[in-house]
Amino acid sequence: MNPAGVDRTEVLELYRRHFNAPLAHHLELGGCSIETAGRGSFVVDELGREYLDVATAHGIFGLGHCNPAVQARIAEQLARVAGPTGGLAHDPGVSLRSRLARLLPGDLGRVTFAGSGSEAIEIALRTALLARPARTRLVAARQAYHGKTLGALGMMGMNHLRVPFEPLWTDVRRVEYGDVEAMAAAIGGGGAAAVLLEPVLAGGTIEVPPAGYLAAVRDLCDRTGTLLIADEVQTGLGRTGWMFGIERDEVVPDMIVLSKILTGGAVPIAATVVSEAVAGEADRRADGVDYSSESACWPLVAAAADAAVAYVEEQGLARRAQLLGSYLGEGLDTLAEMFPRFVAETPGIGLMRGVRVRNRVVETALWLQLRRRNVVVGLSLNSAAATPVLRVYPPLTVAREEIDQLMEALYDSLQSLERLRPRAIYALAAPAMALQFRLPTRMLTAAANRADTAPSKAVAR
Amino acid sequence: MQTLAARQEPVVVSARGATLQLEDGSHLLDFASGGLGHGAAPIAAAVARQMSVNPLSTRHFLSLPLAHLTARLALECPGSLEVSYLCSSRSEAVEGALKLAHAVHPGRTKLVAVSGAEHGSTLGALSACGQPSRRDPLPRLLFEAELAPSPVETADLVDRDTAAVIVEPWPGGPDLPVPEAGWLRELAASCAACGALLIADESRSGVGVTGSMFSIQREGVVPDVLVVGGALGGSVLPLAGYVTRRGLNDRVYGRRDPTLHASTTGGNPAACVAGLATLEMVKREQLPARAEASGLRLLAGLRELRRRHPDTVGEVRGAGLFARVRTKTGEADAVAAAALERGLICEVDPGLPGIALRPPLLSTPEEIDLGVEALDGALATATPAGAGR
Repeated sequence: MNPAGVDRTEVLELYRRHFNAPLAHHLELGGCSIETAGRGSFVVDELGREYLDVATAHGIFGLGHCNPAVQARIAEQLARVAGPTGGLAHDPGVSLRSRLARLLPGDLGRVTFAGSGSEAIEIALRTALLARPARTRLVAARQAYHGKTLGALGMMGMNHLRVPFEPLWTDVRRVEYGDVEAMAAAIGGGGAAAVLLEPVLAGGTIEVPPAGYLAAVRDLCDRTGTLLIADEVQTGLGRTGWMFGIERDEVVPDMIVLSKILTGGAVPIAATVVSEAVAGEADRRADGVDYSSESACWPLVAAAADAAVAYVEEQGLARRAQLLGSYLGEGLDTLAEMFPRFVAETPGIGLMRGVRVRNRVVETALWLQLRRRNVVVGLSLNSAAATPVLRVYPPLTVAREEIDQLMEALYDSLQSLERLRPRAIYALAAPAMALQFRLPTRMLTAAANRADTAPSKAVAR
Repeated sequence: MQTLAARQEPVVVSARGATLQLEDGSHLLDFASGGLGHGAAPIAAAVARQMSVNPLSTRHFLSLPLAHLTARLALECPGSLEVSYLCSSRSEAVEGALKLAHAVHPGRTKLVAVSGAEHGSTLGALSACGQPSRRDPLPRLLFEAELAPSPVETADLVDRDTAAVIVEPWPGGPDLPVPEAGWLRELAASCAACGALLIADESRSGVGVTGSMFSIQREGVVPDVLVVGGALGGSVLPLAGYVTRRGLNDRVYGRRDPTLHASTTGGNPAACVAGLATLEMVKREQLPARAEASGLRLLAGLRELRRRHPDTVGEVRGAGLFARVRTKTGEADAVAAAALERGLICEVDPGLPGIALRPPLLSTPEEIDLGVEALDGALATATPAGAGR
């Protein structure tokens, strides 16, 4: 019955004892099995069941699971040299650096690699401090996600993730995303050291800013000498239907941070690319100190990432994301109209989409329903969001039929919930939520009651 | 870290053990990267197999390699260190350790570190950096660490306002003094008395390098947090992390959001398989004992160099395959550049009088001898005029 010969309860026990006990609870309550393989848009578990993966771990499987082009480069490089080269150059690293610099607009050309998106944000902040040493203020969006290392965490407005680790930065202004006036006030007349911004907000939510927002922020930065850092960890390399999210507003930031699709779904890597001008300013202040990390760009890692970026370019995946994104977006909009009791809106752009649900109970219930139908969407895992957004990030290589399969599963799942009284939905999801987030029952009951009085009752029944 | 300045962009095309082969057919010995060493067949095979089916985790399923590696680390680590958070760089592992300390002691503001030591290049890790050359260019950091002039003096700085002390049990920087045996026991006692967390950064000295699995075991001390890395990824994939006690972990992460501390690719299946294969190999081939033996060979060679170049070479210290040479001629940069000309990559802190040598665990006796020989030649030419020999 179990071809992989592994026992799920044993693995859960190991997670509990040696890794992350709350995560073990969460995965157990979700009935989550063990991943053993991946192919294209699908993940295979220890029982051989196939799941359509439209969570793609925040986009790291943007080229599908086990992309053949990436796999071929890995096999080739593994036979030559994989590990550290004492600071010396190697072909995959040289190729990846020049490919990124060529692909990026303006004079974004100084590439530094890191082991994760968080670490790449740290590099960007460090560079900003070096290039603007006289300024203390940093600006970010209130609902943004930038990472869990201390510098990146200090920028974030999500209190539940940041507050336990304070004190961090002393002068961070956090503004409403999409609001140019608020941004102008935060930057102030004298300017800030830097503004850190996602082209599409993606911290347990999804919000596409009004057209022109990024251009307006760029303008504010230019006028005050403030550096603009684009956090394109999730949006970069085709996800939004543009090669980079900043292209929608034809903006050139001073720094851009990439990861997710850059990993090729195979290796841990991120990159911070700084404009030559700003890199020069930072260099002068650093006075010869090399802050680069020892392990960030090993040949095997670089080869996989180089193959990934080449694949995005050669297969025209940004364009593909735009076309299929429209198809996906229309489907989600239709569902939102059909099930207003549960779905508040379906924000997104390209193949970066979300389903904003009415409350956290609905989020968990819908996620569980989809899971039963062998579809994995991204749980917001944001215990602070009142109306969380389930994330729909299919691989950019997704087939139209696979989007249809997702729509069918979503429709069936919402239909199932529709048949239930709110109390029953609560009963379905609450135990999972109570254990997962240790939420008081009182709060969950209140959420269930709100679902009861959602505006859609008349439509639904 | 500065390892190369002299040559015109040499390009590495293949590698084996400690030896890098360049595009032009020439070879270099890498005594700067440490780690396991290149081309270990069992590790490459295990990684290739995992890469071809499930290289990274979806995070929406259970991951077998992650479960197995965290369990294995609990077995390998001393005392009751049994909960791991894995990531892909030393810096991020140190960030995780510092986060734990911050959250365990929200009211305490003090972090104690060692002058001259460094723990990574992210902003939290830089806040714990004891090197003025790295700290000073940054106009501000996340917090101010109090720096002890030497490892031995860390114990004196620990008080009830101290959240944590971060030290390298075998001091890693080329220019750091090596403390006398017993200092860690004293530090651990001070930390225990004040409730401060003792963070041992073994990202360079761990996994067999100094002759035992972790160098802290040489002193019989169990820290509150152990930072691991270095050879753990088998010189195939970057892999690091921290390991702590369950009670300590649960105070911060036990009853909260499951993603309060996490990273999308940290502890990924391919890297965890590399880690498991590496730990297996370390045991099977008794690499700590081998490191001890190779280390004695290296140390004997370096002591011979001190005899041959008394005006240039000062103190020589080593533990397993992690040795340091102090230069009497001021900066060691010129020696490192001359060594590179002779085919040896070693590590110096720019402007400081120390060289660190970290040959990989799989270095052969021939490679050790060649490295010492290259350094010999470098010392001969780097001796400044007038110093005489």
